[in-house]
Amino acid sequence: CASQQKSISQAPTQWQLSGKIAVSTPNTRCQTENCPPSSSQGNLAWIQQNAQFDITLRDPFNRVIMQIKGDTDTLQATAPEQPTITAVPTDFIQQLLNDSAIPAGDIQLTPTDLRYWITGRPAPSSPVTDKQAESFTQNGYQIDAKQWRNTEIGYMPSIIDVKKSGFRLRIIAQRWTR
Amino acid sequence: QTTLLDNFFNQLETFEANFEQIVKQDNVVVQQSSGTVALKKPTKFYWDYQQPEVMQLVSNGVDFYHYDVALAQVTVRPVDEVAANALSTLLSGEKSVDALFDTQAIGRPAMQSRFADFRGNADVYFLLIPKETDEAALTQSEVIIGLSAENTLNYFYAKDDFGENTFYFSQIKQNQLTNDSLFDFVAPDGVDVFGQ
Repeated sequence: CASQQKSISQAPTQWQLSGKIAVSTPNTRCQTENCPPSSSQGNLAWIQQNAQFDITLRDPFNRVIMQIKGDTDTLQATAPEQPTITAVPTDFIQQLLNDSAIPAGDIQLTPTDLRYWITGRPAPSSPVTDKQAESFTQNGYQIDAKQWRNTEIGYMPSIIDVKKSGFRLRIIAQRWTR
Repeated sequence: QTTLLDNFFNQLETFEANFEQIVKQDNVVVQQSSGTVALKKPTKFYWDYQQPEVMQLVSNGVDFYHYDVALAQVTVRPVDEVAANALSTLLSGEKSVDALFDTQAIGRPAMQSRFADFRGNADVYFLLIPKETDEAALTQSEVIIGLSAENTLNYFYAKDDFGENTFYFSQIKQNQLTNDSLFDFVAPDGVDVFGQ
């Protein structure tokens, strides 16, 4: 409904989210027709302070799998027993998904965009199309933000889906804090 | 020791138990879980977690389902993407213990001195170090198996890049499972099989 029309100016610039994350990509190793996608889920903690982000991904047993820190221009990712990766945000996510069947240039997903999409608002960086009460399209991604509720940082969504071709990301925000 | 362990895993067709799982990362407990488990050779399993969160990890031998009950969400992936772990590999019986590991007995005093939270719920313990071969290709760097005098799997410990996983089993039933439907995961109504 109209009250949920979120303009960019209402997007909180500093927030913390804890919840769950699920990622689905085409099943690249399946040889037969109609293969189920390969998807997995875990726990997510995301701290956003203006342009700075600090993201922790944990497996279902609460073990840290990866920590990603950075800003609009660069990020560093660390994982247990692995060398630290320093990259430009756009390239990094491509690296993460580089064994999926999605065409190389097709992802173009960045924490900079996700930073806004997670809050259910479009990123200020590019035009928005197909704007509905709880969804919009930007940079070729369809973003659905559902189950809005009042939190200490304002009116925020609980379920955020980001979809593009065979790629799907779901974030479930169990808690929003300052 | 290898022969004894090989004999154990060769005869083991199914395994049911209550479990308590302690997960450590950098020597800090990051999660303590409990629930029930059913396993069937070669790669069928049903982990029903009750604490701290209700979650089911199920394999029908082809696909692996992770059902987060609170979120009413299931993710699915080919089981071979998750089966390269020591427990599944040993239970599958496809390779002998000797082909995969260098094995040695480890006494209770040694276990006691190494693990501050050692409970001693098994009678004999074996330390297994994966061999550096393609055939092994395990994600774990060290495994400890504890068997009871009645030849039941009471204790399982595994160490990998992410930390340490310890399982204490109780109410154990081996080779008694007849109902296979447990492993045929069907998403309940209203549950989103993510990505499908």
